[in-house]
Amino acid sequence: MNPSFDPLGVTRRHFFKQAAAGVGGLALSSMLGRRAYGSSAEIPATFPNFAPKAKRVIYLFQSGGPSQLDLFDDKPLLREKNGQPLPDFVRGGQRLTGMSAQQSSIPLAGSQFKFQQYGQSGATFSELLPHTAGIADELCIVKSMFTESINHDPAITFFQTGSELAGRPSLGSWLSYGLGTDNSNLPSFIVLVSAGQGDQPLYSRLWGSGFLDSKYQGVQFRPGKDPVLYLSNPDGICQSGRRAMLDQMNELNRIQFEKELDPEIESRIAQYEMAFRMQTSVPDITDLGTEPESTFAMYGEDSRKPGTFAANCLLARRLAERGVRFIQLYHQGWDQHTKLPSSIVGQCKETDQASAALIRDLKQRGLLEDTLVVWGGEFGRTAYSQGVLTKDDYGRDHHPRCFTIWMAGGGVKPGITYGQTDAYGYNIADSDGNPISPDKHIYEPGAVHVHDLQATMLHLLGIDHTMLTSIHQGRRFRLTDVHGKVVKELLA
Amino acid sequence: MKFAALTAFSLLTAGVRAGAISFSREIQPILSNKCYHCHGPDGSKRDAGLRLDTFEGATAVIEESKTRAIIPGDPAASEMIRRIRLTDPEEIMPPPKSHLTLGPDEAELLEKWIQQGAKYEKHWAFTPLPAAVTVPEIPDGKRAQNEIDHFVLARLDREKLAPSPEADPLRLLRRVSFDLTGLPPAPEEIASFDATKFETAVDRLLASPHFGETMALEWLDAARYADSYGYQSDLLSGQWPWRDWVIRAFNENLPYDQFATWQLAGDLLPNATRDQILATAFNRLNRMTQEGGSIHEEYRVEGVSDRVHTFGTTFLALTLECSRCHDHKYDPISARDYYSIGSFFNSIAERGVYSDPKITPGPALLLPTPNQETQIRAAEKAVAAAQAALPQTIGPADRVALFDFEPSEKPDVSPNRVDGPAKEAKIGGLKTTTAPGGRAVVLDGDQGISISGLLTEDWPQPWTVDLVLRDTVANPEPVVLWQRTFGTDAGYNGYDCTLAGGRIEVRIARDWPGAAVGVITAPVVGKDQWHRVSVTWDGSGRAAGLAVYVDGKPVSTEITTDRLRQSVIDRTYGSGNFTLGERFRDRGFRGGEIDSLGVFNSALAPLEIAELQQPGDTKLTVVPPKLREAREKLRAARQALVNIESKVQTVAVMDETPTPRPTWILPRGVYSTPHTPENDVTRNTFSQILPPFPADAPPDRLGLAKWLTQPDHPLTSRVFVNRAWQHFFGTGLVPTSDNFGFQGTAPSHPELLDWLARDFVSHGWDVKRLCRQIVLSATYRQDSRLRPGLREKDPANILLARGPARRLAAEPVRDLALAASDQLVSKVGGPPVSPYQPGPDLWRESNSMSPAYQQSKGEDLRRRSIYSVWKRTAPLPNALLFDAAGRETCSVRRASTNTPLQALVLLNDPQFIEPSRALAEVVLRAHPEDPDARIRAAFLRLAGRQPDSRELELLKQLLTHQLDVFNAKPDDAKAFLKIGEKTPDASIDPAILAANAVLCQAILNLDAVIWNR
Repeated sequence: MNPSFDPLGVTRRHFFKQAAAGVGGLALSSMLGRRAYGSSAEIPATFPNFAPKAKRVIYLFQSGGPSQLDLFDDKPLLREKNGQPLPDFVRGGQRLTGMSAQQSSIPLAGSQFKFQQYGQSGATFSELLPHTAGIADELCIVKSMFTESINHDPAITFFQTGSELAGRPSLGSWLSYGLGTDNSNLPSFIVLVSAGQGDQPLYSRLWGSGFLDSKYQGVQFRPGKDPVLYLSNPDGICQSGRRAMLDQMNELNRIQFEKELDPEIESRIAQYEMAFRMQTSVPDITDLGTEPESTFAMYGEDSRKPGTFAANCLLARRLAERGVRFIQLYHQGWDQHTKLPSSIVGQCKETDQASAALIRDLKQRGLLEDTLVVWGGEFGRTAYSQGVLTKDDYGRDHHPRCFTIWMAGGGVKPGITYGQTDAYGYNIADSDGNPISPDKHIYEPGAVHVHDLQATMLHLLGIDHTMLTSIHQGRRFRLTDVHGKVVKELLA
Repeated sequence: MKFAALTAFSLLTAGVRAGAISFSREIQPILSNKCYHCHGPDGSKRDAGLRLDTFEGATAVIEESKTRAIIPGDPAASEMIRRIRLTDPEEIMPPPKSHLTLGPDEAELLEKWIQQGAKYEKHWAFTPLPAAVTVPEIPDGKRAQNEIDHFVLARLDREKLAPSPEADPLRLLRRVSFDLTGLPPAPEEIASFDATKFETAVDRLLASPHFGETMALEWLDAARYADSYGYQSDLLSGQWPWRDWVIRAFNENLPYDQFATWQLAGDLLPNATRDQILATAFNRLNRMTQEGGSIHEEYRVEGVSDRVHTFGTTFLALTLECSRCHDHKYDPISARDYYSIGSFFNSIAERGVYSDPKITPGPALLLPTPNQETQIRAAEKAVAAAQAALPQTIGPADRVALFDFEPSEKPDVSPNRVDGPAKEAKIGGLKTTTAPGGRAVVLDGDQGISISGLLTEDWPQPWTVDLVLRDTVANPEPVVLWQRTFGTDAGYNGYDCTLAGGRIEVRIARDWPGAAVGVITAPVVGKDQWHRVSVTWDGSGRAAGLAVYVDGKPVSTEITTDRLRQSVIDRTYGSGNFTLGERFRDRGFRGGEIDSLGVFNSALAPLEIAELQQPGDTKLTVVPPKLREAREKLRAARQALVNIESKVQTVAVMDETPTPRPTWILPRGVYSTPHTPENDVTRNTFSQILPPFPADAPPDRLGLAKWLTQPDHPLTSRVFVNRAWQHFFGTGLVPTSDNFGFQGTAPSHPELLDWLARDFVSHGWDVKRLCRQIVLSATYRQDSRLRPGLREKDPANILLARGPARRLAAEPVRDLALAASDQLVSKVGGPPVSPYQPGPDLWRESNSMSPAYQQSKGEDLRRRSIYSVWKRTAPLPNALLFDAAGRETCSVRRASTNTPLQALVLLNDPQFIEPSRALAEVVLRAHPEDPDARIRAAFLRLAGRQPDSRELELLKQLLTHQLDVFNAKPDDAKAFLKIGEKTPDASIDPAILAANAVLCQAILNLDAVIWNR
């Protein structure tokens, strides 16, 4: 037997069922991933499994691995012991990357930035994040994230697809597959990458659909004339001429349908209509010109410049307003192996104000309560300096053992800081501050594995992460593999 | 069409359900899907110690409950039936936490099967291919073309379904043209097509060079072929000659057993030809990284695993990857089996990462053009002649550097005491200490002593590097004594000398260890003792040309690798300066003290090395000019050879190391698992299924290929004929063409599958014959129209009561547009080309480490899509949107979706607008005054048939309307005609040309064109 997901079968079933309702409804379900399942009993009949707290996600991915030790996780001991070697008992045999493993010494590097507590919650931020500090009481900060890979490619792939290996569906495509779309004129999974950032590369697999149907893959919106590739009519083709052409093509396809009786042909007509509508709906939403001055003041001057992180944050809010399910931002440039103190300043300027503005903006529009915002990178950075430590300079290597992310809205507990690290900022610590070595196979309270974060995100969206599965090559796959635990302490 | 869903299941079971319930087709799928996860082959996670995948296990007494899961003939007493019939969540099976439920039909089926005696059978896919398969009689009144139809008609008869009549001749011609060549029939082929001579058309198509291109496409998906390495920076690789070999192999109809053997083990065949070795690039198409900080062994292990998965899916349709971390949950494949198979693919001289796109990761095959070949032969002759002319005498000892590190006038710098290109050594702030020769520099491991101008020549230049040193640390890990290399931790090329636990290792590498020579000594350097460590290199290109001396005396060395080709001075990263004690992202010589450094532009003889130990070394040989001249000639001859070879296209291939690399089980795939006697594995195939590894076969990849291609092998032929079927029908006889295991779908026509496979093997694994047989069958030739009734009964066409209908795949969609407009350049083979790509530079958009996308010009914009460059992390968007495989991992089935983004591509992509313009010119020139004829001609070229009267009428209206639009806005017409590289025909009025181009575009977008029906 074959219990696998079969998009075509569904298309057909939908077609027969919805024929009376007209072709438009059908078309949207097959192409934009309104939930559509193969018929096997084992695939849950409906998602969400329970009432969702969040209806959508805005994921502000900070690619490269931001330094938690210079932004969130203040370690006075590192300043005190600045320059002294990382003690072996702290490292505990942990592997280092090939970039710093051969260094003749690995000197501890205290952050050069000042930290302070903010808000009612008293959360700690460095001076690099004044705006984020201003929304401290909205944030659910996790200081005890850990992951598996020590290199960018596998680490970011793991974060976004639940596996270091290529070929698995991304988080957003799992959601499109599970939850479908709330907007018939826009894709349910949209990707926004800050323009011109350089640094560690991004890959289409990060928003790909893996072994799920390609219709679940993220659609990248870009700044400029064509927000979606191929969206604009070619030069010299006006919308009325195109309309007439489509009308006649529809007629021709209908003649073909009469002969072939294949519902795929009806679906094809609908896809062309949807494409035509997207030509209006997408530019409408990406045109920020209709925003009032106050918006730009809030998100910062950068937000006037299409393609910046700030403009993308603003666009994310607009997409959220229109019910786009999963809005994935990427901002590169956090891979600060050398000259960290100077380069992190600019990096924060590009992201701090707009990230905070997005939260404030969602809140004032009443959207924050059902929009989950996540901010973080693929791993953290080391407590020791990569390369030579000088009076005012250091670099930090990749560090998967502990790092910080924050979330807001969408059913997470606001104004809390969850988890902690040891005095060296090298290991996750238990509530007494003693280092622990959490493992994805054993759930350690206080430590949050990537799969735990994924499980928690799905939970907020009303999905039991163990039930969102798809069969590929005979095996049921899920985002969280065979791991993941919902971190209840993070839930409001 | 992906594969069939529930309807297919009911049809399948209905087909074989005539009394006795079949374990293999009906029961095993239920047990596998619902039970084996906890009660299956994986012994490490078996609940209650119960296994249901064997009769013995299922009928044994369960320790805990003292019951038996299955009591044959007595379902009521069988614990399994009791548990599945329960409602109590504590006891019901499958348990609620598994999220699995048994349907009432399934429970009933299990009960009946136990009633009938609970007979277990071998899984259908693991039973040997039968020696002969009986061909059923054709039902009365039915028409068959060949044996295939007998099987299909017999089944349809049982289902009381009639086959469809033969398709219209032109529909059939179009279908078979796409299926065999990936191209539409040309107008003249349509005109001359004689439906009564279908075989002639088929033979013409099978003989076309485009046959190989079309068959290759799916093989490239399976082999995860791409033009880039895939990880992180995703730089371009150069494996395309392998792609051309695949095309050639299909065109020359290389039998499938040899096709498989060459790819798996071509390098191990006796007197292997260049093509046989090239074919092994199949196993070198795994993704590779050059990311800084990567741990080489982790990625090497990952690459080997990828080979195992690709081998499993491509040749066996087994999901071996499931056994990487633990025993397979469904199929009887243990983790030990997995690593035993992995050990076949584990023994080549590879590092696991690549250093630079200029340097092919070894082992590599050089593919000189005939012209280069001639040059290489000549250069080799010149080397031999120069070598013969070399007098066998020692000297001259060309000393080019002597650094004694004594205090000098300039701070932080030590001058060269002899005349040479290197003027000074930069010591920076390094401390000095007392040494036998005066002062010595003390290295700290982070800062090296960099000297420009030393060892700058390629490997044909002999040299001697002579160090007096003391090691105060004795690090067991290798530390850099000296090096002259370019590169990063992902790979260095050049010369280096390291010390680890007293052992000296010297390497000359282009790509370690695949293109390098190297030697290593026993522990010869003692801690805290002053030693003279001299290394000589004779420029021969052989490991034997490296000699190591300690304290003036030769020490014996072991060769680590001996396979140097091409240049070792490729500027990849860094200054490449000769440096003592340090290298970028490598371990420095911390605690090392250097008393002196001498460098010679010659390989000193033992006598001369001994002389270096003497104070003043006054007796070094002097300069006999003739000898110097002869040596220089030899060096120049060798360098000429290196220069030619360095320009040659080089492909990463398999090349077995003399001794197999030890392999052991890595639980959860963890590469750093220590090797123990318990987890050690030896090369072998599966322990519980499939034939044993043949006793007389060599224990290597060639033996594995012999095992795979034995005529009765249960999987090899079935898997391939099934994929061939999938190629022609969109769905295989086994719909899960990537999984023939327990979780796969049973064949819809099992006897047909077996007959095809047996016939294929009996006729010498003849691929063209197989294709011919399928397309000549009446089954394939049926009309594909959905008849009322059929749609409800068999929407997925499992029973084959109609012909195949599929949307064209990404490549044929583009190729069709080019071919129909006479734009296609049908040159076969060559480096990848870069077609139109929209937007900003999509390669560099999110990847500043990537090369820029450089769109091709002229003919290369119009090549067949199989030659379009495929960058794994940023594939061509118009192909990806049409469900092209990502090529990061093996894939043998593509989805076929229908999305608005596809509509936007076909409507707005210059890739499709330019051919529409070109086609408009073609038909306008042919029929300037006759719009009807023009429309007919365009329609025929794209859809392969004439439009009917209603279609013609609508297209005429469309053309008229577009003419009005463009006549009103002539500038729009001109703007539209500028899209793409092709200059519009100036003799045609722009409005007319633009309107006709839109007409062609409209036709191109129709179902009648985009679908192959």
